[in-house]
Amino acid sequence: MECGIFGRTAVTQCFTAEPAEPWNFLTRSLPPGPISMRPYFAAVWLAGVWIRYTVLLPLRLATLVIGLLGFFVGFFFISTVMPRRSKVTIAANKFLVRYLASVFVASWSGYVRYHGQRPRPGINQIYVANHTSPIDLGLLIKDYPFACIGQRHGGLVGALQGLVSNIQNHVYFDREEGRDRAAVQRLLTAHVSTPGNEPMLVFPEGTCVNNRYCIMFKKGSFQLGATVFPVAIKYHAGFADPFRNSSVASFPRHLLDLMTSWAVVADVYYLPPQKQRPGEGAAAFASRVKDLIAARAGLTSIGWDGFLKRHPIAPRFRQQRQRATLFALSRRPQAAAARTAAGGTAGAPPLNGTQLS
Amino acid sequence: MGANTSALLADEIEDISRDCNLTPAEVRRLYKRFQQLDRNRSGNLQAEELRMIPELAMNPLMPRIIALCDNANFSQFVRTIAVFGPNSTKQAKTDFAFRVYDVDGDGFISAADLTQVLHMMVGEDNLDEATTTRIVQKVIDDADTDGDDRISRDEFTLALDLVDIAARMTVAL
Repeated sequence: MECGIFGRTAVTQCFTAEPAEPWNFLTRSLPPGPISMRPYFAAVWLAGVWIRYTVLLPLRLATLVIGLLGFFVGFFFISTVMPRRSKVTIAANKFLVRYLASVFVASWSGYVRYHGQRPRPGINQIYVANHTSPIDLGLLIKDYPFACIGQRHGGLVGALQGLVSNIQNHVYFDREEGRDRAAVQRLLTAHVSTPGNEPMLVFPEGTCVNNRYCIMFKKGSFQLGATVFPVAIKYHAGFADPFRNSSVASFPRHLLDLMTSWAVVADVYYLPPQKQRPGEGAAAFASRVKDLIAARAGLTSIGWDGFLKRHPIAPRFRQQRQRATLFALSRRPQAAAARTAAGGTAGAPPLNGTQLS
Repeated sequence: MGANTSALLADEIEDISRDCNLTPAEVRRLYKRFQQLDRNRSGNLQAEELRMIPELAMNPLMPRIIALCDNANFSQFVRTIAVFGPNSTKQAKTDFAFRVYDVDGDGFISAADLTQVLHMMVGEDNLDEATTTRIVQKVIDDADTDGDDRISRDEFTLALDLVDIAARMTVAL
């Protein structure tokens, strides 16, 4: 449990983009610090920069703009000309949502392969996936118009959220409301049990992780009594770094980074549905599904709660350690007292163990 | 990543690298980590920022460690960390451990210091006063060789020789 905390922790390594091996001629995927390249490499890199920024980027921007135009035209047409409640309109709207997602995926030269059973409408279904970036939504919605649950964002993401809300039911909440687990549970349950709603897509990690690790799945989605369909998403890091580090890049900046990478290549695996076993707690169920996803996507499973990225850990962990020390002391009072002076120092500071990096 | 080492001048890196026996690459890595920890970008690591590290917040001796690292700028941060590097001397490591225990910082570990540290390690309310006093006294009696009823640096070093402190307080940087 002791780690070289001042250098690198089990938590931070999940939220750091890893450099691509071997190098893919993107300087952004190199570790920070001065860069030195051999002349041959530098020449190829420069050619790459030229291609990416002057050839690919304009093409992709054009794709995005034209695609968005098409979307707005279609949206306008459907909302004004077609009858409100008919099945055809609803189907057309859902096609439109998928079209919008495809436009975005195309704007990064996205090549996504889908494996497994394609999602189908049904009641009491919830889809869970590992989370790397908001673009995960693009990849998944391109295939099926899931309903989304998430925190309300501002800016570009917020605008997109508002847009798709007009087309089908989604669930959005504020960050503080999100802390009220009971409220979120109610919203989720209400959506999932209402016939006619699309299956809900949830990212139980609660935050973006760098696609090498899979952190703790929050158990909220696993205690609804619904059937859980795991989805594993694996990106090929050589073509682009999909990890969105919210403390480093805003969402538009992240999109721009993707548009100036080589491509976004990903595999989406739809795994067989899982039900909660009798006697299995929600947390155990969540952990089991997480391991399935991590195994399929080749991610390392880690137990840390993503909540810790932004919030201090609860005092009870410290209290647990205190109780353990007390127990050790009380078991052998004489020897332990002498050893406290000698060994307590060695045991107590956390600065021993794994590598700093 | 957002960290840029251009803000850290090359000769600063050299100075720190020389003083602490670390390679420049290690110093740069530590700087990146420092920037991650310094959330408000003040240039110093405040107690609040240190408390955000989960493993540190879990450690019962956290108040002591934070006291030793509070308001550290990068240079002080590295010097503290360097104590735990493989190149640092056994004496440096023992000194650091001594400072953890010496709460009032007077160069001696007195009964009061030890009591405070013991309270941190087992939780204040979990041990009654009589037992605490007994344990503290036993520790001092065992380690105190010159009879001044407190533990000096040398006595501490001698006591720690029983345990291989160097191995336990080393991290690959």
